[in-house]
Amino acid sequence: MTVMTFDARTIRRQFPVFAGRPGGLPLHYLDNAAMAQMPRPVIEALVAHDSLSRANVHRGLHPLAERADRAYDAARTTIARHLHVADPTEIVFTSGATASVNLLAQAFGAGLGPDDEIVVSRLDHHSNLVPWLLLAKNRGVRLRFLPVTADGRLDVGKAPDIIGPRCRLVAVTHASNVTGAVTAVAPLVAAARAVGAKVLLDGAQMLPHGSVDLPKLGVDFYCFSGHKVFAPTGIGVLWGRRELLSALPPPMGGGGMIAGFDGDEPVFLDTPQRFEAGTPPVTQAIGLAAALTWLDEFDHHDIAAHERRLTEDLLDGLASFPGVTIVGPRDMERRLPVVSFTVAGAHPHDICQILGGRGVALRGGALCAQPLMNDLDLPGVVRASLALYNDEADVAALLSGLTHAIKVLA
Amino acid sequence: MSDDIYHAKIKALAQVAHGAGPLAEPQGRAVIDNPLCGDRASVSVALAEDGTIAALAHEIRGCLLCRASASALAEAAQGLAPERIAEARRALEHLLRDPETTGDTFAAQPTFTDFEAFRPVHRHKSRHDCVLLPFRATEKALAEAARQRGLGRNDPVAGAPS
Ligand SMILES: Cc1ncc(COP(=O)(O)O)c(C=O)c1O
Repeated sequence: MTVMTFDARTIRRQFPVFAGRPGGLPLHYLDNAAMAQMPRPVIEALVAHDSLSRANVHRGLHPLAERADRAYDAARTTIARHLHVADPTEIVFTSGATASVNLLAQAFGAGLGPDDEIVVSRLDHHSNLVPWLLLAKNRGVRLRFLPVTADGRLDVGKAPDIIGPRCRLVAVTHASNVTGAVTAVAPLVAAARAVGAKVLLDGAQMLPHGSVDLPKLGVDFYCFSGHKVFAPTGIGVLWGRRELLSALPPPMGGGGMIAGFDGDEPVFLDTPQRFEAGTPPVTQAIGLAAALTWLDEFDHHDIAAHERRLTEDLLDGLASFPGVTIVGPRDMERRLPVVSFTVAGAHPHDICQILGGRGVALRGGALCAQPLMNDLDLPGVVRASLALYNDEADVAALLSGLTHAIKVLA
Repeated sequence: MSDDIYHAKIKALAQVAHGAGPLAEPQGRAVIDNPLCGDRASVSVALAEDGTIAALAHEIRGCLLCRASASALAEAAQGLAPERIAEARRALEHLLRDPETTGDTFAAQPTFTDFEAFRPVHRHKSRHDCVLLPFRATEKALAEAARQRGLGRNDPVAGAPS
């Protein structure tokens, strides 16, 4: 594998969107936590597959179908390798992180009842909260919440108090889509292990920012979405330890997941097919594999160092505004280039609108994290989220745009 | 550019904040959330003997457009029959949807001419709800007040639940 030297400007040239100048302005895309852009190799992989290898998988015996089958299987292997997972059958394709969590909530939750507890958090995205709230409603499972520290980190110090003997699963985020804080996983896993509970991490924000070594993390389940990691929409992953996945019932039935019938009783295939009823998102899976292959061409330390430098600049720049308050850690330890803030006297949407008009793409509002907003007593925040293709000019455009917005709104 | 929606008139409306605050003795009260942005409009109304709007007060947790709209609405609504609010809201929706409408959008509702200030918002569809949120809360509060009257209760609503 060739490791390229790192230069954000060169990387940008691989992204057609930056040549496009939407709205006639240079694009300062700082909304990567919502959706990242796709580089040309990924777009080309999608087009190539649909042009030359398009056929349904697992069913056909003609050469085109065989080619599609091979490509789909190869995508699974590529993704497993990226996550340091030895067994590709532990990778289940879904339509996204939300679908992955819902799949697990239904499959894992099928065996739970009022005597069981699931530990969630007050800073998770709704997609790793609402499926568990639904489970609590439907099956009487009790939810307990891990609290959040004043600087927007999951308070893992409280884990041993909250993760009790009735806990069956700890379902929390690997990194916050609001505060950018990266969860300290080891103490969580230790607390869960102490009571025999399993751990699900939501890696939706983590994947685009460096390598994730699942065996090393020591968790049991992991999920993420393709579209945040330079891949197309409509694809995501649920990873689980083989022995755990093999013991779970399928939440959805359909074609492609049945080994046969014992009389009228369906006999289910093992993982991953058991969880992939119907025609899977084949092209999107191939796109995801292409995106992770592309990402692996860079040294992940280079990506982290580049993003860290820009985040430091951004945090320093924001600190010079008297009315701006950072919502999240101020230090750079265990932190992603996801920076949320408030501006005294200005609503996040007004700030985002004015900066949007200057080509600076931000996101504002509650960011699908209403419990966190309630805890912090905030109507919402402005969020700037960076990716490896961002550079100093993007940070500068944000800071000068903010000066302008504050003037306009005064 | 997006700056055009933040012109002096809109900023002044938000700044003066007509009707901002709680109402001592509301007959109807409604709280409406905009879940997309976490905004919340809470509106309280009191009706006169003849059923017209005697007072309209609002507490807004929201953007500048939402606050400016609530402010203009509180001023415009004084003394009007409740049906006028829905009519004005429809005229405002029309103005936001169809920028070609001319300056007489509010000809039938002269107290609402301040809402001409929101014309530039038509270009920003995601912001239309910000302008309309105070109307939706007001209409709900008025319906609540009418219900109370129907029940023969002209007294303030207790505790004013949402
Ligand atoms: C931390 C986190 N988890 C889950 C999701 C949900 O991802 P998707 O909408 O792709 O299912 C998001 C998306 O914003 C997220 O930031």
